[in-house]
Amino acid sequence: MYGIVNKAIEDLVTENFGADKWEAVKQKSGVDVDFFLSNEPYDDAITYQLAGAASDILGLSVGQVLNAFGEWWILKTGKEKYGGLMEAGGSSLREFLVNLPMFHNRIMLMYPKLTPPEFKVSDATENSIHVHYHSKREGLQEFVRGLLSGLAKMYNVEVVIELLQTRDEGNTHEIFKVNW
Amino acid sequence: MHSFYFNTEQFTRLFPFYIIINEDLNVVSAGKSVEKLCAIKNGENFKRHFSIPRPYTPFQSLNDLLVLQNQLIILENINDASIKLRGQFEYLSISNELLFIGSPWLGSIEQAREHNLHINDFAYHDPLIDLLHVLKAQEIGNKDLQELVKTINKQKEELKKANQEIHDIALFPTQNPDPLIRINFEGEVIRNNPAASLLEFFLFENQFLHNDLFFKLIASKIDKKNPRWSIEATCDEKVYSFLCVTMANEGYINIYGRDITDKKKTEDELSRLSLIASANKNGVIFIDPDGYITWANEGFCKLTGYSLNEIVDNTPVGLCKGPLTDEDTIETVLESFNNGKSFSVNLIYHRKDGTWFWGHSDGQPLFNEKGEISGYFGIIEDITSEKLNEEKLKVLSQIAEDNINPVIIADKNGYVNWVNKSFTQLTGYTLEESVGKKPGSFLQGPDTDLKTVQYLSQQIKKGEPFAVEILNYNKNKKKYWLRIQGQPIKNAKDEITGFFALEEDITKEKESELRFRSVLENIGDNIWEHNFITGRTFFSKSQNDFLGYSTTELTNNQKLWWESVHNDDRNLLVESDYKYRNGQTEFHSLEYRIMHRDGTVRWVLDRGVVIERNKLGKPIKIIGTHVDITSQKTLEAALKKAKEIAEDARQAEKQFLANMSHEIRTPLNAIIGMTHLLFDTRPNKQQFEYLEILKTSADFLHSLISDLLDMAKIEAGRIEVQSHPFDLVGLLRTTQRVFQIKLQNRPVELEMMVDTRISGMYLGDDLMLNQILLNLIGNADKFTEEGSIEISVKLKKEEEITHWIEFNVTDTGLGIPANKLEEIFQKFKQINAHGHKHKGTGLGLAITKQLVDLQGGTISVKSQEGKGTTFTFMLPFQKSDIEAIPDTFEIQAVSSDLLGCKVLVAEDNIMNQKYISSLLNKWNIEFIIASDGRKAVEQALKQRFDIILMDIQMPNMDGYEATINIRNTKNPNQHTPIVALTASAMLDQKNKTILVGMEDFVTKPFAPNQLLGILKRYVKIDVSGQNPETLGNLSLQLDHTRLQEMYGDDKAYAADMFQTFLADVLPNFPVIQDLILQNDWESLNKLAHKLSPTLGMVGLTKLELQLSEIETISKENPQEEPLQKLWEGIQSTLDAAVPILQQELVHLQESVK
Repeated sequence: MYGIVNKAIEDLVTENFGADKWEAVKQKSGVDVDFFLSNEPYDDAITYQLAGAASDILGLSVGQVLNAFGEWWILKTGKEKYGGLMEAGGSSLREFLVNLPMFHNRIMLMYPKLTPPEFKVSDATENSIHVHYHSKREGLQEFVRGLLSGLAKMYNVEVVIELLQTRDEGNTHEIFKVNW
Repeated sequence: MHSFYFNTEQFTRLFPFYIIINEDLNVVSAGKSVEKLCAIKNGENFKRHFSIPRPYTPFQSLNDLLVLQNQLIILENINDASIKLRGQFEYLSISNELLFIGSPWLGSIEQAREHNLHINDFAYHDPLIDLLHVLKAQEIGNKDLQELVKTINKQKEELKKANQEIHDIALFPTQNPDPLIRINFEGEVIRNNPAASLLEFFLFENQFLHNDLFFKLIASKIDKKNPRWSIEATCDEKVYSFLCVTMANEGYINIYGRDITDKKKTEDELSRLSLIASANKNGVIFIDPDGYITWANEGFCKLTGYSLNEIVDNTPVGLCKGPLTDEDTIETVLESFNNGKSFSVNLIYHRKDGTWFWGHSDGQPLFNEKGEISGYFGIIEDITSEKLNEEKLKVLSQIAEDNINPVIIADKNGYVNWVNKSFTQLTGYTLEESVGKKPGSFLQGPDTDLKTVQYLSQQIKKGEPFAVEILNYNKNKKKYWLRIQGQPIKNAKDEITGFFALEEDITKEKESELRFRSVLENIGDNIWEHNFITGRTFFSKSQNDFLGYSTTELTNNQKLWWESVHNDDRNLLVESDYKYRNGQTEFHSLEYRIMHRDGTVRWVLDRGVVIERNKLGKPIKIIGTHVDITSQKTLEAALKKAKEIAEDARQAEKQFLANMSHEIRTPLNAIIGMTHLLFDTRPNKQQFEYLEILKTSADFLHSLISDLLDMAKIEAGRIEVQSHPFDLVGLLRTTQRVFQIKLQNRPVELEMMVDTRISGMYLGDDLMLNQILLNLIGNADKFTEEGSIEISVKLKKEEEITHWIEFNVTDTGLGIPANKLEEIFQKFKQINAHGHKHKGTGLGLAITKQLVDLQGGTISVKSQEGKGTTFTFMLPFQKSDIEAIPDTFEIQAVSSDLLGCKVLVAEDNIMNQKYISSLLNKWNIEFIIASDGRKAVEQALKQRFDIILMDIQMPNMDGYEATINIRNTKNPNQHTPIVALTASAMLDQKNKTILVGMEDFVTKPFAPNQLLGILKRYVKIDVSGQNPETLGNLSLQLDHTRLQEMYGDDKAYAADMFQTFLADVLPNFPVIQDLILQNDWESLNKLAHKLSPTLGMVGLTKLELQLSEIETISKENPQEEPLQKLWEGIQSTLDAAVPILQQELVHLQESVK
């Protein structure tokens, strides 16, 4: 994953729990990288290790950590760092989610070293949409849930996110149903 | 050609920002995104919404826009200038409309957000939003990099800090059980170890301090010169020593504490012990386990001569071991020391000054509570005197026992305590037989001299030393002679504890002495022998003729001889006796008077010599003779009286000669002088003839008297050879010249040949040589009518320092008859065989020979009658190291010098006064006459003269005294040349005149030319600088050394310089005066700077210095008054110097010619 992801984890922990905790997380994770470069790809393991360590240090489940991280990613990283890139993704949550697959295609061009997940949308109604999440990576569905929840918060929409299917249950991919 | 057809929906999907304008410039159609962006509606005028800034195109009609095809167009929204569209126009001819296709130009993704543009507002093919995204990613990347750099820098700082920490920690062992503290220079604790953190309150220098104050105090004691110091302080009843080390570079002080409580306790105890030890006069030292002295008491310092500082930290061996110290004993001591054992030895200690003492040393190890050796304690007692006594005793007993002479040791009453081997051998009595007896009781017999026995027992009773010769008997009753020397033995309280006697068997000596005595008895002279120890004198004859007493009488009354010595002569004997006793003499030979029993006085020749001495070299016996020399003495006295009478007569003769010299010469001087003056009065022919006769007769008389006086003085031994350096060749050349002038009008050639090896200065009497030459050449002149006189001088023999020089004076004169040759050097033998017209005194050659003899030379004569005569004399001269005076750069006198000079004439004789005054008047020389010495001194005090002519014999004060007065008192003539005019003796006069300070002397009667020569000679020196007062307040002597340095022998160059100075430079000097008056100091400084070296060029060195002073003052502190004063001095001296410079110039020019 690109450094920006790890960086986001660092920012999340530092801003919400303090620099000491981040140091503790880093030490716990055994990740000996002082500085993550946003535009450089790092081993996925690093991200997992950091998430695992954060879970230990902060006394949260990995799922909670990833969820929080997903939200953070949208609300802080995307919004603040990418200067409204997220918002440019659509004028509403629905529009954004509809555009999401195309958005990711564009991202692929911009970050050639990226192994991006693939998103698809289906069953779009006035009040809901199915978001299909295809990824080679395991165990990140809570992160995706966090992302979706973060997007909702960005568009100031209250949502209920349902996990309709998951690889854990033998499916090919996860399907989240976002209801607003 | 293919055509494309799009409906509006398709078109707006592809180009959501398109605009179509009709010929009225109204918007016909627009893409959904441009409508959203610019709020543009169909039918609205394009102009209301857009302007075209690039290319700037004001437009009114469609035609205005048509020209903009085929190029990049920027449209700017009139309502919001931040909205720009980038694209191109395309004319649609079918509909006569203009199509704009483009996309917004945005700088950032945020701008897109601001204008509410979303991703769907852009055609999929439009990469703008993606490019903005990339831009953003790069921006983030840059930010990351900046952050990274910051982080790296931060890490670097942290690393540095960490390093420092490590460094600091490394310097600070925390686990040390001793307290370690690090404070900064303000005394604040930077770090301390656990041991130090326990220390809270300190007792330091009688103050109870909390640790922060304590450390501040330490910090205040920092000494930049000494980075290490230590203090002691108490904390929690423990004594700590704190070594403070300043770490200047680190900016802190490390304090290393050490608990020294135990050590302190020990030291206190030691110091208590030391107090006790100090009082001990024996040396006490403490030594650490390594052998170094840690403390010593005053006794040890006194014993060794070292100060405590010098002792501490030295080893006792290093300090006191010296050449006499026994190495083995030291080994023993060191072994005991190394094994922790005590020891007790006697050793020689060397003191600081190199002297030594025997020391009894006891060493004891000291143990600490753990039983380990903590040091040593040593006591040293000076046992030198005991040791020496012991040694001495050992030696003495050995000497006594082994002595070949018998030795007796008796108690204070004379009873034998001990005898040696020799004694038992000589006497036959064993030690046991001898002990407890008085020696006399078993050793003396009937022939032993009772008086000697009495003397011995008296001396023992009195406890005084004794020395006797005594006849004793051995066990077999055989006689033998002993010489006994004994002395009391005293204890420390000076009480007599016994006697010690050394005996010597002198039996054989005694026998031969007795034999000699009987022989001597029969010999004429009185032989005596005196014993200094007994004070007794032995006389060989039974009857002493010249005293009238018998030997027995003399022997019984030892004072008789001394009392008989004449009172006036007794001191001679006393003095001689004293000299003998003090070892100052070995023998004596005295003549003194002695009173005979019959009352007559006899003379005795008393001679003696030491024949025996004790071990200390003091005489014991002298032996000598008394000879009656009364008749001899009587004869001597008669002779002496005769000699005195003769001496008186000689003295009278001497006085007569002196008087005659004066009495005859004075009128003769007047006669000769007047004759000279009469020649100047234009006499007529007859008068001239008379005058010639008068002159010849007077000259002859003069020469006769001179010769007579010389002869008389030579014979009276009053002439001595006076050696001093002189220029031999110069003297010869002068003599040659004198005679050449004399022979000018006669057909006699004078030639001189000098060996080229003769040169430089010789030591000898030049006056004598001169007189010899004058006599011989004068003789040759006298007897040679025609022909030549040849003088040849050869170096005959060259010894190490002496050159034997042979002089030959050969003439072609009359010659001397062979039978007269032998008489030629005798007095009053004038060879006048031919009735020669020249007459002489007949003394000339006799004097010549005497003068040659006096100098250790030889003289001989060879002659052939009618052919000529050769006188040859040879004299020894020593070669002198002194170099001949070089021809220096001197101002030569010219005759005109005498004009204006002033002469003081001291002369009592009126005729002589007249003679001299008429000469001086004739030469236009100013003079003053003083009729005696006193008046001369008065005149000398009043004014300055250029020369003083001083008669010697004058009433009231003679010439010598007057000269001494003038030379030694402050007066204007202290350095004026004084020339003696003397009518008294000749050759030995000059020394005395020079001794009193005169420059020269002229013997009266003198010729006018002689006086003129003297005047020229001395007045010349005067002008050139001997008497600077005459010319000004400054010495006007030209600096010839400097002139010589500058010009050397280049007189032409010197003349040029002098000429230039006088003609060109001199006129510039008065300007100095003007500048001083104008106070123009700058110009003055420049002028003085320019002129001062020119003075040096003509030898006016002192003036040069003074002008330099003007230069300095004019620059540094110019004031009119001192400058004016300085200038006036220079000016007057310079004025006075001008004639000298002119004269020097003339001289230089003459030398060049």
